[in-house]
Amino acid sequence: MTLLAIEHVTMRFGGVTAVDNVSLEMAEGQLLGFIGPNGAGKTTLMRIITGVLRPQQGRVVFRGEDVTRWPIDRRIRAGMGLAQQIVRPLKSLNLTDNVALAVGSHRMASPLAALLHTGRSAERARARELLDLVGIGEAAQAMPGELPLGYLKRLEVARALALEPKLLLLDEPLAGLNQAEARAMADLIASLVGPEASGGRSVLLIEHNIREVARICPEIYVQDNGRRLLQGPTSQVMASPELRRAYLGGEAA
Amino acid sequence: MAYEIVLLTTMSIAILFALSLNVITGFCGQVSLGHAAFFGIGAYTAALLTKAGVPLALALLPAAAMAGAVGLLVGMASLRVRHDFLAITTMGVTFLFVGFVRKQDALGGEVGISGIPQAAFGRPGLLLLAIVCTVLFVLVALHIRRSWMGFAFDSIADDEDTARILGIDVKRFKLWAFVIGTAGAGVAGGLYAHHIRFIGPDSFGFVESVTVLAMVIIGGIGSIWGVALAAGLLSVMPLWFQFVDDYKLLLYGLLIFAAMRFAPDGIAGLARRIAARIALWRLPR
Repeated sequence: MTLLAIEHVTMRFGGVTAVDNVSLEMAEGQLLGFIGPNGAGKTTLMRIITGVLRPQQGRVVFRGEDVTRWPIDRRIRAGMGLAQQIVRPLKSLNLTDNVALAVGSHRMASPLAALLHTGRSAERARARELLDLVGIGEAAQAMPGELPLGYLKRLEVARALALEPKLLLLDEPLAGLNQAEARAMADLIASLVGPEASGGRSVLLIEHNIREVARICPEIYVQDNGRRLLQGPTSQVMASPELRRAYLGGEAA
Repeated sequence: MAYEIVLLTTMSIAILFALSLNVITGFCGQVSLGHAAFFGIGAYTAALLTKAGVPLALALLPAAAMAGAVGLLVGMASLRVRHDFLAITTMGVTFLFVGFVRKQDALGGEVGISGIPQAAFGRPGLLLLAIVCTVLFVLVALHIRRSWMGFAFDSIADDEDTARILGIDVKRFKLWAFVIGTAGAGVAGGLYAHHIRFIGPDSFGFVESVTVLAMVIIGGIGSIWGVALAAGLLSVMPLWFQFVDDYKLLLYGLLIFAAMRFAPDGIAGLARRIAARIALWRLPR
């Protein structure tokens, strides 16, 4: 079943067309790698999916509903989860509470419901589990300002997971991690859609670390200069001359 | 005894007024420079009702509702503005309120409303009512802090964009903060009108808005006990010391400046740091 459909989306900033008539579909349970050279419009497309940006043309359909005009928070409540490329932790809360807020996001679906709910211990316990899962459990009590970027990248992922999204959008979750850490994080991402994972969750993974993307993603979508370049099974995409041209420029060797 | 009752009533009303702003500015992070307008709306509403024969305890409910309703409108109008722009927008509310009231004969115009009736059981009755309202509001504020609404406010005060990514409907939560805070100010205003028993448009101007913001900042933005302490002290200082009354604006200005420069988290933050110091000394070396 189609979970997300991007239909002929175009986004211009002044004279620059960052995303040019792009269409993309994602099925339930799919792990799709999303690659492309710098300036390909990857983050812009991600922002269109989450609602940070509204495209001039085209529409975004999520779980059968046209969400093109929906604000971000409504899309999140409908089942999207986002780990941003540029980390944005809540600086006044420790890591546990940063994640616990996301765990309990259903409690804040309306202000009145939020007012009538007290008690955070269950959410905090779940938050610590998630911090353990992404490998930063030892920093559960630390404040974001005290931690290096690698921790905060993983905090973003833990927070997105805490929302229990149907569609997890990961914008360069491996950036800032060393090789072993990146491998562990990639394994974690793969396990989210594996057979043992709860059914129906899909992951869209934007990443520059092509080695890890190729290792864990069965299918890859490539964008270049704001346009769809190709999409297909990983082995085909990795072997294609268009991919090399996009990354190396000129004629493929 | 009578003097103590006046002092305590003044303190209680100021604490309620400051705590109501603390919900908007402290909990939810939305700086308001127009809070006195809602205090004024409550004062006028309650005064007109008691003059028409309604008991004060009952008149406080429409006072809260009226202030909260206008608070909702102002909140809706200022949803799109943030930070300094919000401060300036809300500042305009005070001027609008004073300007509007001055021109309304039904509200006493420039002259204001005098001969506001006493509360039931006189001054002790008013003090009791003020204490009950203040304690109730403290309980509401403590509950908000503990609830998921307080958690949502924390995230909005910290970073609105991140709050949205957590699925929080930032606009609706802000409106709730505005309504709760302005309704609280309405009750405080209703009590104030029956404390002073004379109100005019100039009792609810920009200076009063800055004064209450000073109480919140000096007490420690967001801290219930810090703000209550600062409001209690700052409200009676002009009664205790004549020179404080003469130089009220100068003193409040200096205190805000000192708080921002040396203790941006106010009395509450200062107390936390001192407690942490003492805990360090006590550690075995």
